[in-house]
Amino acid sequence: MKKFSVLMIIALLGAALLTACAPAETVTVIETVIVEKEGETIIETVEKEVEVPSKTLVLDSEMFSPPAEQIFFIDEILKPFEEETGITVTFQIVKGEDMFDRLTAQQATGHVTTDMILAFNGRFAWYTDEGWMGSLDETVNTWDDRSILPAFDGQAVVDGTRYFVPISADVYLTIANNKALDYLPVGADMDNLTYEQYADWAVAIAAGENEGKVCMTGIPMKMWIYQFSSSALAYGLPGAGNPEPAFPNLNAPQTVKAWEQWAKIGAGDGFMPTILSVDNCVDFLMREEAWLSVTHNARVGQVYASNETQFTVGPAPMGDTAIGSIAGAHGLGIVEDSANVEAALLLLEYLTRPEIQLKMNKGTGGFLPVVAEALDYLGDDPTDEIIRKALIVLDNANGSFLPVSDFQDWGAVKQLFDDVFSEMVLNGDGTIDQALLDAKQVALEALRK
Amino acid sequence: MTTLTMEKVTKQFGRNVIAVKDFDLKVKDQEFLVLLGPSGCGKTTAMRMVAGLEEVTSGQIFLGDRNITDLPPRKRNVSMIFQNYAVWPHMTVYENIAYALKLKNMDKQSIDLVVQKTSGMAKIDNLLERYPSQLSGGQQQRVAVARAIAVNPDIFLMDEPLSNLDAKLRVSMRTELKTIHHKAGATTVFVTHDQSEAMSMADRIVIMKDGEVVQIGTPDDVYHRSNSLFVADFIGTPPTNFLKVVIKKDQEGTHLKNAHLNLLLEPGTAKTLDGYSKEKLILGIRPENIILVNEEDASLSTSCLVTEPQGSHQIIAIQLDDKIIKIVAAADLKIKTGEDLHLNFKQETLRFFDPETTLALSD
Amino acid sequence: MALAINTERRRKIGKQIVPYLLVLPVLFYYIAFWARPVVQQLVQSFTSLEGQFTLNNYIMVFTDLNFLPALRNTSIIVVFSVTLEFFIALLLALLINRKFPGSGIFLFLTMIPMALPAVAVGALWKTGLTTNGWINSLLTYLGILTEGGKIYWLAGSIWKLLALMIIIDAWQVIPSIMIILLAGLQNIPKETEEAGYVFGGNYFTVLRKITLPLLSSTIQTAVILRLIAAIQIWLIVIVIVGFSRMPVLVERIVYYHEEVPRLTISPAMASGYTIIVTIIVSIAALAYLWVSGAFRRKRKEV
Repeated sequence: MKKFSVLMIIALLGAALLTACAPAETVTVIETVIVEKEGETIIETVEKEVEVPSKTLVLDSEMFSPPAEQIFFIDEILKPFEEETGITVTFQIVKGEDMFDRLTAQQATGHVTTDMILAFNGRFAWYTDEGWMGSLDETVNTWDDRSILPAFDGQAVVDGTRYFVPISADVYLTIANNKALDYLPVGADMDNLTYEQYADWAVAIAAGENEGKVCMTGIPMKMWIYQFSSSALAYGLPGAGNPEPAFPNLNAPQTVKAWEQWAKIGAGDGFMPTILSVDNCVDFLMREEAWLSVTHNARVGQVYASNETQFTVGPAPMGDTAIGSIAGAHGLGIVEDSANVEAALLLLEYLTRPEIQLKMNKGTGGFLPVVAEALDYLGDDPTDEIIRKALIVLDNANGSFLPVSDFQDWGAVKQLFDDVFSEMVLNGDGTIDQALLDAKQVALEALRK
Repeated sequence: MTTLTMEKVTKQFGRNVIAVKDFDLKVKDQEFLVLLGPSGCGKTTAMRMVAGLEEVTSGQIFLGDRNITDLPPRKRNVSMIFQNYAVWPHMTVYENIAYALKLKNMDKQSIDLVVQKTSGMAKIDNLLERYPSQLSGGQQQRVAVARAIAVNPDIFLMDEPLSNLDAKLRVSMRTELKTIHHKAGATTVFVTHDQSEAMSMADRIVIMKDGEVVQIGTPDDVYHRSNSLFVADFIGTPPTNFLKVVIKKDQEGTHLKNAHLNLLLEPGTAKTLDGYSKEKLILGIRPENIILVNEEDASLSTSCLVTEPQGSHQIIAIQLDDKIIKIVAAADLKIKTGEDLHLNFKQETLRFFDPETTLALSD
Repeated sequence: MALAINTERRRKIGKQIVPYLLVLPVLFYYIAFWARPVVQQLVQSFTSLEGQFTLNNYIMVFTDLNFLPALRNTSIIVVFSVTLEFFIALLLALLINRKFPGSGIFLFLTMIPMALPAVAVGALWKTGLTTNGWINSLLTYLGILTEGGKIYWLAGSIWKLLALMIIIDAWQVIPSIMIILLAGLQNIPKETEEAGYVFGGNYFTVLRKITLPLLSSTIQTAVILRLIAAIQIWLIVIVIVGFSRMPVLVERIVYYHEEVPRLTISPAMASGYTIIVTIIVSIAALAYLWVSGAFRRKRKEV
């Protein structure tokens, strides 16, 4: 018993010592060395300490979380960079809230391990408000071979100083299974579709097929807020940052016009019957359970690329004013206290090269490059087609970024839109319940910081 | 109470294992019959087929003139005592005994009467409210016995009921079981691998080996008139001594000889060998049938290896080549290790076995 | 002499203290990693944002529009799924315990769902239940559905979805209950059941009067462990319908903790729901300890 406890203590102390004394800069490497001895060749395994330069870079990202995107980004984009520079990039997918919490902890303890973040533009302010990010002006201003689209400068640049560089954008597109084209209302055209035509189309399909075919994300707190608000923007709802009413909004006259179209689809049983269990339209579109959807360009790209002869893609529909679309971007920022700022800047430069921009955004399913020169490299495969349509939207749409940081919790904001969907759109009679909308808008306002 | 008849009963497990083969048996009314054999000989399987706990592969089983071959256990009216008692731990002694009676829809008063009577017979009438976990092994076995008597079955089946008890209790329970058997007048089939248990309890013994019956007979029969090497060896403590001999006939008569032995057979005994044409023979002699004689009357002379005093008698061991021969002698005989012994046999008790068939030459 | 008594007594004390010394490291672990957060959670549930004592958190939870539905849905799931799971598991265990040819393979097959994590189970069923999913395809293939006929499994009332949830949960959980019951069945000596048959019982009387009573402590263990787990169901619910559409108690905790963590009310709601679930689970656990006899030993000793 006694011996055992002594042994335990020794083992514990040993483990503690080992942890404490672990060499920071050197790594023990087992090398296989071929040694010649008296004419014989002997292979020996030798353990020796080798000086390995600490050229590692920790990149936390809330983008590329789908496994396919992740693999592509790591294998096809990061690996060449690592080979080119000898820098090892530790790439980690982190949820938006968790990323903020992680940085908070690192800043509080002064132990900064995250060098670089790839964050959603709606959340740029979380980091810039805290003053954790370093200015990128010095580097960005030296670039003469690339120009960053200014669409997201509102969030990336604060008081004239750039803290984030967007590397990937997304907008909303319309995708239809070609079987749906038979029901396309007379005079409608996928490239100039209106929401009224969209709604009529959806109802016509449901009547003809005896089953609704419109897809949105019925599972709460997914993408419905964006799918819907794109339509509200199309009816003239101002984008975020404008005087009220502006996105996000549930009850303004412009918004109500949009609700009317969706309620028409709901009353006509135009949505897929199992709509409330849909969390991502991709599978349903591919399986042809859904024929029609206004959704995120990367999702559209994924479906379209799976079988381009089966689908037709167009910009998001128009309301009575213009195309409307939520436009988001993900951007790179460098933590000011990082020990690896140089390496981070190298990666920033690499990821904004026009050809890398296109490769990255295409490879991960049809996001939009944010460097104008990248568009010169567009070809005519399915993904290029998606990017072209998406550009139409980005150029012409009444858009909005996501003012995530204006609210206590964005998930709760999303939920309000989901509630209206299930109560008024899906299970309603096609009319507008203004009282409900007003109540939800009050709830929305209560969520503001 | 009734008779049990088994006709050509065979039990096969899987494709290859034949546990019981062409088993024929008639158990008389009120008989106490013991199935005896080494483990794995099929005796328990044979009994379980009577109970209905194993399906019969082929053959027929009758209780009286009732064909029970395909009846479920509950319709056979048999009762069984198991080796590990198999009393139900969640029921009191009373409930254990009353279980079967309740299932027969007997009224409460009659049940009370039967439980009182049978628990009295099994001497557990003071334990009726206890649970089995509060009883000793012997008491639990008595519960099993009472439970078995209570149903007033056509036949009792007992599957090694005493082998989980300690040695002393086992011997006293033998007497009690026999007493109960007499009182109840019950036809009983009792399975055991313990030959002394079988000898002391059985009206008749069925000796089994490898799923087949080897000999059926009274304890006397199987002991004194063992019909094979197997039975002669299996029954008796110490078992029968065996000597390999050759038959030599000359003018004196018939001799059985080997390196140590020269036995002149008496004419009456020699007759047994009439019609036996082989030269080699195995001689079987029970230890108590070897007698110490003067040197001139000896068929066999050797020295004492060891003696094993038993109180009432002693066992003398001698060694012939690599074989130990055991002799039962009176306790007061003073014999020392190494002492010369002169031996002869009680000729009328000799058994002769054909070395090839291993069967006895006489009945 | 006095010295002798002294050492004798000291040795006695030493002996008594050993078991306590042995549990000491575990006790430390519990205090550090279990008791402390639990107490913190408890304290937090009575603390307002300003750090004052308050019952407001509980009032908020109890007046939450989702509280009663969550309680109701959880109760329905617990009652129906545990009942369903118990009976099917018992049936399977009895079947497999008969050791028919191929029962080994059958056992293996029935065990598969147990090996899958809840997320995988959710995904598997979800792809199956969707309109063009494999369940409808299978039914069409088997001729139960006409060509082009469809069953909208995932569409419809909350009751239908609850029933689905219970079936999916049962599908996953039955093997683990079955294995506990099977182990219990295999612990029952064969002869006790055989005696039941010999002394006049048919299959059902033996099952009712002998097998099940002998299995009762195993059944209690299985059912109450399952009950505790069923109270904590949530993942399968959100995989099928997402958050908030079909609230259940633990789903509410996850919702406030993971989905809307930045709401000012979230910490209060999360800790309130947590404590409520903890209390319910503790009651179930105490009930388990009570019926399993953990408290009884002491009485017997006295």
